[in-house]
Amino acid sequence: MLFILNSLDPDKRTEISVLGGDEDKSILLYGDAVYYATSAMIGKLSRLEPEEIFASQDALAARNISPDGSVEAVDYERMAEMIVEDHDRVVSL
Amino acid sequence: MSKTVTLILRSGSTENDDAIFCVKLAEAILNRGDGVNIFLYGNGCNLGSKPVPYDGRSPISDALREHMDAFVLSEQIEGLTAKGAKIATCHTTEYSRGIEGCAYLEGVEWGDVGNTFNRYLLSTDVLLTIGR
Repeated sequence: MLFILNSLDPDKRTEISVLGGDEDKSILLYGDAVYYATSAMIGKLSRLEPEEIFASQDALAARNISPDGSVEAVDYERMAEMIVEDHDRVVSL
Repeated sequence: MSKTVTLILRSGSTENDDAIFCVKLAEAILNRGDGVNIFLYGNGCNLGSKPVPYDGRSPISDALREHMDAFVLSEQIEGLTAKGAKIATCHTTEYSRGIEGCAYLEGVEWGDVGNTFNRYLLSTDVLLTIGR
């Protein structure tokens, strides 16, 4: 199950927890949500126990963010693949 | 087998990253050989109209103009329709913003929730709302 996140709204983290339940969860960050990818903030997502965390490399570059080692920076080609092919359920929050 | 992704875009291009994310994601999906529908809803409807240049003397500096031009997505949106994307506006949200009568970009169509959006849904494999 892939969750797409575009902001730091804390309610969205709750939604991931509630909607994702015990299922395998991946999280894709873009927009201001990529601030979660910093080492200082990644813990807020890690506690949701996602399998993988991805971040838009364009959004990271626009904010001059170096992502934490647990985050994979991805381009649009890879994001399209994740959304169309890799996950049977995709939820944009 | 190709799939069709429908994107509901609810933000304009200068409010946040949502519009540029939508356009670039749509292009990547089309480049894979998959289909894309985009429904321009709420402030997203502003992206469907042709820009209207101001003829008078503008106080906008060249540097600010260059910065703001990066948020204008008209060419990219026409590029998507040229590649086969179906893009329609929600005319009600256009009406409430006073732009229902404005000319559309090449390939963008007048639309509504009851018919256009439902037609999109009938051919949709993945539905995403991009907005906040």
